[in-house]
Amino acid sequence: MKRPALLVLILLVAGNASYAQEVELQDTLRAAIKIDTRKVARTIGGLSTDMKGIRSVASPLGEGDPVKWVQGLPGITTGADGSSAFYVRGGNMGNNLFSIDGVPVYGFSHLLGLTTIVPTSAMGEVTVSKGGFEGSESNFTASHLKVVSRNPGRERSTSVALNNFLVSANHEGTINDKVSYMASLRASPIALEYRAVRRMLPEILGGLDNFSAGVGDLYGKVHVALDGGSTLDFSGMGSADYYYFTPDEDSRDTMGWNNAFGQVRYRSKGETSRDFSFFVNHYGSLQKQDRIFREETNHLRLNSDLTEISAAADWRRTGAGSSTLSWGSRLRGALFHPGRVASVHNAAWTLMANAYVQADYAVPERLDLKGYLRGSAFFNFKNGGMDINPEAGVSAKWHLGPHFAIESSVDRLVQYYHTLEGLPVGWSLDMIVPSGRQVDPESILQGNLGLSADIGHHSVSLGGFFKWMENLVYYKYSQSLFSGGMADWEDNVDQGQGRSYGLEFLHEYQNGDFYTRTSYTLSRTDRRGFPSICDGGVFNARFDRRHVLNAFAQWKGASAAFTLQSGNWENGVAQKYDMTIPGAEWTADYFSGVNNYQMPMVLRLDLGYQFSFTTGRVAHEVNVGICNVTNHFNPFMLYFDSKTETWQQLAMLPIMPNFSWRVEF
Amino acid sequence: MCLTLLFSVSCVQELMLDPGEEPMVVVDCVLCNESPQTLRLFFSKPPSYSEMTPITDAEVELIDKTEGKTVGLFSHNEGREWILDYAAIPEHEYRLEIRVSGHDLIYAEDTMPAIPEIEVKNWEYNREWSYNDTDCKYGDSFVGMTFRFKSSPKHLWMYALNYNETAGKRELAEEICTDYPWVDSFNLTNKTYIPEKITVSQGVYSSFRFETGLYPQLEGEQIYRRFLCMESPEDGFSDWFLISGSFVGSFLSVEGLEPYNLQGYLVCTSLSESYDVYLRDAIQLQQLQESRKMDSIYFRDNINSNIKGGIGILGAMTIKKLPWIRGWDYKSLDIPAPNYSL
Repeated sequence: MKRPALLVLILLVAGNASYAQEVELQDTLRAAIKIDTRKVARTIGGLSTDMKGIRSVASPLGEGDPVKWVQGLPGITTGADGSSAFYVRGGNMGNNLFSIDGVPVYGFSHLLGLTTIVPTSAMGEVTVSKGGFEGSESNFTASHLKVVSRNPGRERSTSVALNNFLVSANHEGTINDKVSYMASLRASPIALEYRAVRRMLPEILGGLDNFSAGVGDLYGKVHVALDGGSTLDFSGMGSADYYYFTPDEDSRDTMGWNNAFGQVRYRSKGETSRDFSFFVNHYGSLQKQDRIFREETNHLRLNSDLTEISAAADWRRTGAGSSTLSWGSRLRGALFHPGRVASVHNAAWTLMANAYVQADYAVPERLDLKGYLRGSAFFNFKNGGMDINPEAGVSAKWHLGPHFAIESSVDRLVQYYHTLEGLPVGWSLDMIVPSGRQVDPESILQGNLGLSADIGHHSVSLGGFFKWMENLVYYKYSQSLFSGGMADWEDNVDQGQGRSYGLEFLHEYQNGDFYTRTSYTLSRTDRRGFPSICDGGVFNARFDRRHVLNAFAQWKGASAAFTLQSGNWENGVAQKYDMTIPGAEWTADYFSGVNNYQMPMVLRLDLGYQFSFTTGRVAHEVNVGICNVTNHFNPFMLYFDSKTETWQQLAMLPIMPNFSWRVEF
Repeated sequence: MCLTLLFSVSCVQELMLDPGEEPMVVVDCVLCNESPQTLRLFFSKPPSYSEMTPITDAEVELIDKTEGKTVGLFSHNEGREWILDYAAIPEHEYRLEIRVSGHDLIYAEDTMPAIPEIEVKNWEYNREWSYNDTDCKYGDSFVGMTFRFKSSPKHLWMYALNYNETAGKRELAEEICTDYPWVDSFNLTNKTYIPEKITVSQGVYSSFRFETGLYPQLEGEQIYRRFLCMESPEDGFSDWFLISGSFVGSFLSVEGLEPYNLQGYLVCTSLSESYDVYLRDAIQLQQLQESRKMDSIYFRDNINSNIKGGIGILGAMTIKKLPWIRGWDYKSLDIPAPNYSL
């Protein structure tokens, strides 16, 4: 069955509002990074790239973003096709931390996952860490996707960009010798496009009578260069995603999320560098469905808010040779409102504090060593729960010669914010809840061992990993979620374990203008020990994709990206059977387990071409391409059709051209 | 315009979430203290299958574990139904073993509960013959049926049957209520009892017709759907209580007599532990499936099953049929109770 015009339905369900927390406030440890001509630079357990590498990723918007880049790396599986969800080494979506200059961003998805809320014009460098973490990074257990903003340029410039779904403008310049600034504004014209389509070609919209959307973001930064190489930065950002539509005359869907933060950051250089910062951060989400179900109007609604205030101080002292010692602490207060409904605010204040010390030691061209210890404390004022946990990690890279190296890392991490898993199918907004007296913090123990080689134009790495996860949180009464269940959410969750292990492979080849990157992950991830699920037995993690293959090739301006992934897991009814009670007989469902139905594999081929030219003082950069060239049906979401009472799957990215045009002057 | 293209080609497909598992053997058998025992045996239906296939070739054995002997083999009757001419013995433990070709042994065990001891009194009837009896809490003005438990088993369920002339069989009454204080609320409706207006003409008042209400003492009590799931008092004895609802009754029993076809009656059952859990699960699921609340589609709990190697239930229950008549109270009409003088 093919039905047009349901993009927006998809739209409503796609928001992968993710989150994670605490943040590193230092630049990437340069001593451990091998910068070469390739687009992906490797650290111990991490990969990084610059904006050129990010922009070269093929995407529906014509240019890439950090999440699309991450989704093509080894050890990482993706959520639904086209979304911004990603899962690292068996962790949950909420176990990832996405940060901008150290500020956590919980709803980084933009345009339903087609891109992220951070404008590419503001990004300097992007790093993803999957292991071998820093002592300053805390309150996550899977990965840290770290965006470091660039400083405004010394010359005044303005750029304007246009792509399929966003119009953006960026301006930067200087006020005087010491103060520079940049500002970026993006807005989506999809609501205007909808109205134009409705006026000109109403027949293709099907039953989509009303659609409106408000999507945009604003970013600003003021950079002050102080005496002695110190800097003071003021930065802030706001983003909003709001979608409303009526898929049919009886139904209304609303979905939205927003982020806002402001940060002040002071950094000084010297034998002992200092980094002090303070930020206020807010994330809110709303998802609402009004449906006629069996002739009765149903209003289902989920709200969630989180506001944080945080202060951090970090020091770093460079010692003799290539050794450094880092230490610091951070304090964060947060106010949670998960599942706020009407007068039920469901508020919980929390306070989190930690302190760490980290030592780095390097023998040039022989050995890189890193180790950290961190103590964290978390207090939940709602129910008086208090947790104090040690965390630690060690990592090493042993260079076997000019071409080969062995690297390994072991980390034990703790996370105090939880994203509720087990929300009903079709409800994608994340509910972020804090640890407390009844809900223990999540923790992981993970390790990896790998071999890397750089020979000629080739760069190869192959490694294995394991991850043991404890106290994962699962919301077990999804049917009560909309009838006040969230008011006592602590009583409605189960905590259990997870296991993940696998192999990761990455190959890069660069020769002149020709570049290829191939990554492959073979992994197995499960969940277990949840008392009310499968009697505590083992079941598949929802995004346990056994095989994930990503390939990317670029020659001059032309590029091709290919992905092939095993299907993820959904809940299926295994059996139906007739049953009787006195006076009645009807058909019951039998569920053989959780996540017992494997969706079809994901396959997508994207093609792109990038070229640039100048006209006078104006520089133009154009990206054109085609997403999903084979028009493979890759489900983006499942939803329940209340009229036919059947489950439907909807693909968001059919074969689709993309276009972006950036003008800078 | 990309949006146009996206609108026009983005597509939706119906999805059958079929994990691809093989059909399972379904057993549906509730042992009873009345003969015969019936059992339904069939294969479940994975979502992509068109129907549930009856199992007609199997060996179905019922074993009395208390006496350590096989009491009989079920024989296939028709369709899914198998029959054994046997009345289960209260408080005996039973084991059901089913052998189906190509499957491991399917078995289940359960214990028959004791027969509920319940005292029934037609108060006016009783008063006419024992008018000195003063232990009915409803007083002299009451006419109707009252009940009282005596050393009851643990899981007591009561329901009422009406005779449906069109269908030619008895059916469960949809609504039932009581003033018995310990009733599980899991199947509560949102309604409260409003006494039906009835016209009375009987006994010494046969020449006197008047309007009154059906069991007016129950006015305002909460109404349960189909079943009263009652907890027995700790010492086994309860106070007298009334029952009413959407049923007509008219069965005024004399011990040993069965109700006539057109008569409705009350049923008091005592359930085994596993059948009690199963029934609660099943009724809650049924209520959800019939619900107009959309969040009901997210319910994913299995109904409790004690069948090893299959799904379904081996339950056990003892049954006692109880009389019930339409009752009223003179007080509700401010009519003085009759002064009997036999």
